[in-house]
Amino acid sequence: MTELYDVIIVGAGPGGAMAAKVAGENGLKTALIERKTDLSAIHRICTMIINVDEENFGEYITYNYRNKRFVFPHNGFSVKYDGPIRKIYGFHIITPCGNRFRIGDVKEKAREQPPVGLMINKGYWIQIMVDEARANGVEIFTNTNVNNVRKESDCVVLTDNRGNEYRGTFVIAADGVNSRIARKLGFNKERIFLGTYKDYARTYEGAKIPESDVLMFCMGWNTSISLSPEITEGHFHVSAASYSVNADLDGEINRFLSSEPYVTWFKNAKEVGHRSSCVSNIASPIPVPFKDNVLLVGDAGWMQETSITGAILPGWSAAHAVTEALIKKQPNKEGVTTYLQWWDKYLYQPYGKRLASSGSADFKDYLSPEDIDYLGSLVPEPQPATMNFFMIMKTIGRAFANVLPRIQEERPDIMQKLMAMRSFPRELALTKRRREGCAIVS
Amino acid sequence: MVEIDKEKCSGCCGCVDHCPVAAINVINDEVIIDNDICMECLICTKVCPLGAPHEVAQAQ
Repeated sequence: MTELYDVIIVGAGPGGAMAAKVAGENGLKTALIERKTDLSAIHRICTMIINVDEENFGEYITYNYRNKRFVFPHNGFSVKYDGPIRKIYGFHIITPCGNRFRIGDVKEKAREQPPVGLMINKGYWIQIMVDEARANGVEIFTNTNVNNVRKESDCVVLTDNRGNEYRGTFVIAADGVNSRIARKLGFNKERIFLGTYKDYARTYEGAKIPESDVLMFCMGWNTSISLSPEITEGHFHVSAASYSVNADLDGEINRFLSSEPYVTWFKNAKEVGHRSSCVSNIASPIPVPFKDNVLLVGDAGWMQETSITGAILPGWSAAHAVTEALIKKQPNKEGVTTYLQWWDKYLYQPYGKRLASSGSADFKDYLSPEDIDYLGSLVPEPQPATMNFFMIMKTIGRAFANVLPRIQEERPDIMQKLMAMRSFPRELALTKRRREGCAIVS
Repeated sequence: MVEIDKEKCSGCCGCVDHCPVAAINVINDEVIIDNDICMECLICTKVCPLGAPHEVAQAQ
């Protein structure tokens, strides 16, 4: 009979590392299982940005430069981070000809306006948290792939790729957007499949990109193209992403880089480092992230991009809830009520419900690159800076609602396309996503 | 059978996650496919953004 852990955490990303650190500090007998050996190596595409000094999932994260700690004042904790930092001032949408819709201004007032995002070395931060977890007695199993989960009467049993078993009173699943644990527990059967999102990036050095201390989302291409600064000064990554598994991501990056003005921006740039990628099985957020004594945190119970903030916070909350359940001798759903309430209040009610009903027509099926250039010329003044995904959506909606009468007058043809796009039946959009994607349910 | 081109693989683990029978694992930081478990559904070849997993003729 193998030993029984109070809690086993699967996945040493930001959510799992945070949960392990908290469980260790609370004195629980804890194991953290990760399939990589080098926890600081990040192979999946990630912008590695922490949203700061604005609301995110009920928290207002700030960075204490003096003590080198990220501070979470609403929840009342802080985490050490003494690695490199790069300030990010917002989110820009760039249309094919180079028109910008700016959320956050770096051109005029970069020095006056505080950053809304801090880019960090995520791998280094994870390593800090895991080291603190280890110092607090957490057992770390690396090079270990968790491939199965089952519930027994008094514990949860995990099986790894070598057939070893791990027993825990609770399990915290922090195994990401394609969570095998969520799938094995049957969560996916109750979720709406919203598509397979495939993403691929190259890193360049020596590119000359104007207003570059922002995330740049380029619209009007056959795939979504993003430009993002990296933590290494002078490095940028260019990524192409699509909901179609058959999309030519490589070819689309080439096409982008050979068009003006981008060809000029990248004239003296050369590709460096290893190409990175990411593929996400996107299903609607899970309303109650608990089953059979397994708690889901971060993307494991979400769909895509709760971002680092959305991983750290549930990791923290879930580990405390498990601690409380064990103290109260309630090793069950009632025991971890605080976590389920937290998830409902800060993730599911405000955002999850809305995301669950997402899925709409693709811009590129309705609007030509020239149409998008026109729309991109309508709002030249920068909008208030934010890196909060939901605020970005709200800002776009608000800004364009104001110019609808002008579009109607100047370009009734584009107005008609926008209206047609809006009334495209959701069920057809989802059918298209299913056909072009690759759902993993069982 | 399916092979993974190490030169193309970024290590993002999309195929590891999508494999319905857990035939693909990360071992010593390398994505490795176990062809004894693989049932050749080819989901890995569809989801990989870099085209690393590919079908090859059965080794004799």
